[in-house]
Amino acid sequence: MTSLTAAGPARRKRRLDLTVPLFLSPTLLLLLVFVAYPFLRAIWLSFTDTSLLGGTLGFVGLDNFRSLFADPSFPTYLRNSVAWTVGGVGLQLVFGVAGALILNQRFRLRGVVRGLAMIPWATPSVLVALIWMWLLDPNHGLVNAVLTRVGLMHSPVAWFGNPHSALATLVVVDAWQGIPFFAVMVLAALQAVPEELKESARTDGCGVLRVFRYITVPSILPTVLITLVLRLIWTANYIDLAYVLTGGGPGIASTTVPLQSYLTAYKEGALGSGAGYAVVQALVLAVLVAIYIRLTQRREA
Amino acid sequence: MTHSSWRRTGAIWAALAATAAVALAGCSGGTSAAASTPSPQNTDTTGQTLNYWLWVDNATDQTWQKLADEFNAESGHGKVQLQIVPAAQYLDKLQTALSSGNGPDAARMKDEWIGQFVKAGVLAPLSSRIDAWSGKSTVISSGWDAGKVPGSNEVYMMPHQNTALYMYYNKKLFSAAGLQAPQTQADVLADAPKLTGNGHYAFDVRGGAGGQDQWAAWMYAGGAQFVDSSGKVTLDSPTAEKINQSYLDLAKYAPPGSATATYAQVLSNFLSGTTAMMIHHVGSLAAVRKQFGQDVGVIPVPGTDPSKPSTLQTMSGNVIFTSSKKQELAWQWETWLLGDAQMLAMSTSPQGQLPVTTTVAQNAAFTKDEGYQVALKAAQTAQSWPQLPGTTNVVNATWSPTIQEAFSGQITSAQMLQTLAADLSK
Repeated sequence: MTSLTAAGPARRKRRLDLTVPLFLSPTLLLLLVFVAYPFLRAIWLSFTDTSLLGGTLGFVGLDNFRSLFADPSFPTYLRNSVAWTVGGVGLQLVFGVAGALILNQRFRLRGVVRGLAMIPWATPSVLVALIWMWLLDPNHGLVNAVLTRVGLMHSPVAWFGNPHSALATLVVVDAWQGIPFFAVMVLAALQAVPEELKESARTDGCGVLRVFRYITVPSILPTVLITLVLRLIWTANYIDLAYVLTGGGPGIASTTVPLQSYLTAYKEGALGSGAGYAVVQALVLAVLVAIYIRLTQRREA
Repeated sequence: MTHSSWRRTGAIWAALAATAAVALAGCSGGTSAAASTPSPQNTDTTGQTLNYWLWVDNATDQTWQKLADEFNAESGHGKVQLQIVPAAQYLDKLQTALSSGNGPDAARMKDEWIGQFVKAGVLAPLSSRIDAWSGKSTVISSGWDAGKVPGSNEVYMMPHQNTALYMYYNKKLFSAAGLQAPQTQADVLADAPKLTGNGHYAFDVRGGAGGQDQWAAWMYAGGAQFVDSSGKVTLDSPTAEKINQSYLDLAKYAPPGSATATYAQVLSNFLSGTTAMMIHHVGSLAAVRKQFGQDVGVIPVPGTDPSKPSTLQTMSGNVIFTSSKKQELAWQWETWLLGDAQMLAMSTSPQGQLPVTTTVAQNAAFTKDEGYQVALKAAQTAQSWPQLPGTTNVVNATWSPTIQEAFSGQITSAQMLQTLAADLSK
């Protein structure tokens, strides 16, 4: 009888141990097939001479990385990546928070405006690219026509065709597309700020700015930080706009590291070298991923 | 080792040897003449379905599907199933599919892509089939040349549609500037400043996707040679450098954005009268005639000496993959497409180009407009991109950024050609 009683909890424990992996197994299987395998395969490819048509010709060690770092264009790709990511997300942060504060106010048709504000985010990237390609066309585009007509410019500007303006223009288009996401995330956080806290602060004599500084900002800060890191990771990997609007040009003026990875792998057919760029990108982004995990864990705690 | 283990080991070696023999036979079968020569036993393709990949130049045009339906309605052979892939992703998807073993049996192909496919050993050689084919003599000779790689006489592509590039010029804009149609590249450069001003420009230099073809037409017309007779790349010669410089100089008389412009922008600029000249081919003839009627002239691409014309021709055709088990059906489909009725239907369709058979080229459809006449005459002396393994890379990846850097003065004409020559030689 005693032995039966002792075996009971042990059996229950064993069942519990099996249940957890069983429930996790579908997710683990999907992660293994669709995340771990491609990731490890990309790392392996980066150490090989592999072409799209010819297959893997052999193991080349660090050769792909040596030629990547020896490429005189590589510093430009890196600079472009930093400018694209920091510029795009920076604008999204500033205008996203400002937009959220405006949308949080009471005004007529607020629901409609909130819905319309999401349109850029909900529009497919290629469509966004085509809209802006038409708007900014130097010869027949609306933006050049208006700016020239009102006298702000003497002659049309090739926004995507000039090496000095191509990347900056891409950053603006990316910001236009990404601001609504930032705004909605911050708006959700703003709506969760306890009204009693604000009321107490006002009762204690705080003005609008001090309420914002000491009540609103600390309340929305965790959401802003997580959104910021998330957008940094997404934007750093985002190549659709540049691929459609400039192809990385003029020259390499708007080529980022992930775009070069794609162009090398699929336009030049050099999968091994392309994977090398992807691995470098992944290493840099690993820092941001670590920050994101840290932030989300802290929030859960 | 016991008797049974010896026997087991022997059986394993025998199985391995048999497997290797079958594998080697399979490998060599793809490249041997036997595989590409029709034999009486394997000409019956009834019951088979061919997986054929293609891109279409006009997404609304149903000519390809109508032709496939006609082919499938005929008896005596198998059927073809079309797999249409968007043109922009066609080459990427085809390469990826072939490398993963999921490629089609046959596919539409451009001459400028052939080099790397031949190098990878994925294209079935077709010469022995062509030699035995009764329709061989009806195909223009440059069509067969477009399917070869330098240093070899083997043909890997059945020609289908051809384009020889020529120049359009806006007669009203030229007349307003007191100019005649340009005869030489020197004329174009001299006329360009007179055609530029008040929102008008001389010529779109098209540094974006697809621009390499009009640039190559200018280079060939000026007398540049991309490779010599031995197949050595000579694109960085002093002659080529001079002709390339004249093309770069035209950027001063090009509309804003021309250094990165693609076809849509170039055509839009010409049709709106923003530019006075455009290098293209009969693919745009209908749109140009609709806009301008007879107010636009069609002339050969200006060169150095009008008595020695040259231009670029781009040939699209059909290939058969060595991995296919339906090579006979693929051959039947690809030769059927070269029949007179089929060729006429395709060449006169909204996505049609020049026919590659002499009989169809004499049809009234190709004699009524001077555009066709200029193009057909230009095709006689036109040259293709050299079918080198590095050509796809240049056409697909490196030409645009390299010439864009040259347009913006970051590199010189000579440096641009050295880069392209090195990429062609890879």
